[in-house]
Amino acid sequence: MSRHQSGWIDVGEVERALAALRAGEGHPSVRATTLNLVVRCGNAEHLKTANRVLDRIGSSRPLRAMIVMPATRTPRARVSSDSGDDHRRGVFNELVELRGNRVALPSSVTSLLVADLPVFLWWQGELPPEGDAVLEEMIELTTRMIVDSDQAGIDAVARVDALATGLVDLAWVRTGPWREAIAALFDGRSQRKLLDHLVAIEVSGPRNQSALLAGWLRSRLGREVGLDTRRAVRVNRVRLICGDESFLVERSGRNEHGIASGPGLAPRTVALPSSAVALLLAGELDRLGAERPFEDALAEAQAA
Amino acid sequence: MSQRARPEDNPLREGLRVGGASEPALFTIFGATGDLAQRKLLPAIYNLAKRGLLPPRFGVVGYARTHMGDDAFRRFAKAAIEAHSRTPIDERFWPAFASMLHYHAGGFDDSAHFHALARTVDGLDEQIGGGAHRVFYLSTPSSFFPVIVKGLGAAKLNRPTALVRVVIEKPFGDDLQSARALAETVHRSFHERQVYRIDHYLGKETVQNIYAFRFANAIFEPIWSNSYVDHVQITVAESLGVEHRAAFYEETGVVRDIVQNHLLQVMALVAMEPPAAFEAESVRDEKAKALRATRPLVFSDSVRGQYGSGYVAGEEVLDYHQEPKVPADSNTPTYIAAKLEIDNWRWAGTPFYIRTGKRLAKRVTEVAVQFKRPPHLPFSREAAEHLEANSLVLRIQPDEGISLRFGAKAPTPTLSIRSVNMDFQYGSSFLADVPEAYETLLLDAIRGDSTLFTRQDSVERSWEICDPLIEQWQTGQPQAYASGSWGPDAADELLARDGRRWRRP
Ligand SMILES: NC(=O)c1ccc[n+]([C@@H]2O[C@H](COP(=O)([O-])OP(=O)(O)OC[C@H]3O[C@@H](n4cnc5c(N)ncnc54)[C@H](OP(=O)(O)O)[C@@H]3O)[C@@H](O)[C@H]2O)c1
Repeated sequence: MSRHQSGWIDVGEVERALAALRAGEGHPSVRATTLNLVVRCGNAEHLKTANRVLDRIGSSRPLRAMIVMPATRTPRARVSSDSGDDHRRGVFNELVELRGNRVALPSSVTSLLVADLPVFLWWQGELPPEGDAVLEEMIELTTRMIVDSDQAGIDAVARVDALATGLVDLAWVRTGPWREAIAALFDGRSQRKLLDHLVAIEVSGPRNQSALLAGWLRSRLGREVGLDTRRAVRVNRVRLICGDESFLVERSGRNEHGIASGPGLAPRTVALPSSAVALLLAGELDRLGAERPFEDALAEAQAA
Repeated sequence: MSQRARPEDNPLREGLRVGGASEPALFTIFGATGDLAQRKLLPAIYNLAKRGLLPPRFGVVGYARTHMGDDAFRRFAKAAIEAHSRTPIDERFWPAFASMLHYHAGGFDDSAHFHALARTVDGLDEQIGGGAHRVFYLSTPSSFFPVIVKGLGAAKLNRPTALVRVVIEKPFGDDLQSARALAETVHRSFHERQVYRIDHYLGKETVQNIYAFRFANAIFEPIWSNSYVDHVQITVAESLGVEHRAAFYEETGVVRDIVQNHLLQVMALVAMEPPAAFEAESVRDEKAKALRATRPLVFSDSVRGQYGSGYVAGEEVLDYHQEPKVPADSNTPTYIAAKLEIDNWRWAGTPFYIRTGKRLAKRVTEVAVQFKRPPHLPFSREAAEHLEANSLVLRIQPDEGISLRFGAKAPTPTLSIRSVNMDFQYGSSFLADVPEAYETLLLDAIRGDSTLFTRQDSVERSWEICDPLIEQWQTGQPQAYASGSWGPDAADELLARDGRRWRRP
């Protein structure tokens, strides 16, 4: 990977600096940009995560990334480009790091978006309180917003969901393999009948992911499903209580797989990967638009 | 088998983001110890599992003569995957994967073996909850296809038709007659819709991209016809020679090896009309129509070649006749260039030139659409003398991408127009982690999507296109070409005759 970085410059000089980086390296004259990604950072830790994640996804999705971090000054920018691991591919990624007064940031971002391409906003950390003008302005620019209720909390995410059209929650994405494993338990006809008697679930896992799983079941089944949570750093076990019977999906030790079992089913192995943020995020960059089952699950989770 | 609820009856499935298969399936590999199984099939299944694309209830049954148990087969599979998978083995995931692998030893010649296999498969089906789709993959020399399909039929492993599929590897016959005979045998046990003829070329991401490029964009399709296109060139160039496969190649030759299947399939993708829907029958109907409109290859519009010695990428290589197991008087063609004409409204008068061969200058597969020149150039002759007609090149491998050649003003004081290439490399726009063609195709077979598999009518029509030339080429000698070149001079003359020339890929 070859990376070149400028010093701190005015926002108005960014395009020219990027063009210079492009020309300087004998890059191809065509850039295949597929999206804009705006990453909001609230602290140095976020900044580190953002850089790590961008390094990993940049080579697969040509993009212009803007890392946005509030500071007490007129916004200034630093640009860098990299051309992936493989020069032949000619993928050219642009990274703009923007720092400055919070209120001035949305207009800086607007002026730097690559025209006509989708804009993804990845908001790390907590979400600002209701009525925050900066957040609203940022959402206005955005095609799809990515948050993490494991960091921001379900209520804040639900609040933003009302504003943003295509919202996705990384905590929800983390529950994906579990939802798939659970759904597969009920493909058989006799198991499907037991689903009608599902009254409650027990989850060992993070609070928000547990709430989203329960919200998902409530919204899909259109009725109340109780939730009993035992806190853990990642989801390790889900028991579904259907009348007198119960189904279980359980991680095997610290593995990325586990066992799914239930009445009339031979226990079977299921994949339960916990993917790194970069991988989760990359998957979300390939989708556009709202995800109905998530919105329904979120509404139920918040109502509970 | 009948105790499964329909997936749409399971409310939890709604909106799940499964790109993969969800219905339970059992995948049986005949020839599980063979070369293809080791190099492609087992690694593909492993990578599908790792990508989470296999159904949650899934099992593999390996079938071959070698005696071994499940555990030995798991070790065997692990070694094959270690050696050939595009991703390394993840030890944390391996036990879960290995538990899905089973083995059944048996021959192809005895119906008792097939009944025993049926018991194994039924047992596994029960273990995973019943109602599994069953895919039988024939990864054996094609001479065994008839006995295997017969054995499957006799053991009733061909039923129920909605759940059972049989995948066959090429060759699908070696001429029209044998292709029909094979189909007849297969159809005695399986309906055509159960038969999945695999051509790994069609599983390549970039080949599938031809669909997307043509039918997801409004700006290319209107000019995709004889009104604007002067001609099309399809090149499938290999830099390797026959390697250790001379015996096979002597029987086959370039037309059977590449033209009848890969090349005509790619041509059909470029020439076909837009399908009404991207689903198996619509797509395959349109491809079949394009092939039906294609005239058979003609002797006078074809050039055959055979490689001589030379240098490929700096390395000195042998003459075809010096390759081990090639007879001294072999006239097997290793190269063909030919003109194909398509008699339909869209393409009449716009030829498709094809060329493919071994030991060419480099390995490349591409489709070049050469447009007509502008009807009038309002510039002086000098200004536009270096201007070439527009061309659009779809590069299939390597360096997958698209390039468009157009005229632009050179920054000179007098007006001078030059051709420039605008190159788009999809390389990594979307394809960071490009799946192997076999992964795509195996997953499709498991989910029962036959869009990318070849239907019998296309197979037969392709033989009709190729057979007359193969027949005429039985006698006479191909022209020698130096290894590392782009083929015999006569190939250039073939186009020069029409006032055209090959592009240099
Ligand atoms: N290899 C490739 O790269 C490639 C590429 C494209 C297409 N193909 C096609 O794929 C198919 C398989 O090719 P391959 O190269 O993998 O063949 P191969 O290496 O010769 O493998 C043959 C397999 O069939 C089994 N077998 C042979 N005779 C048997 C019998 N009488 N009863 C039971 N099992 C028997 C062998 O098992 P034992 O070892 O136990 O005897 C072995 O597993 C062919 O149709 C070929 O044209 C191959």
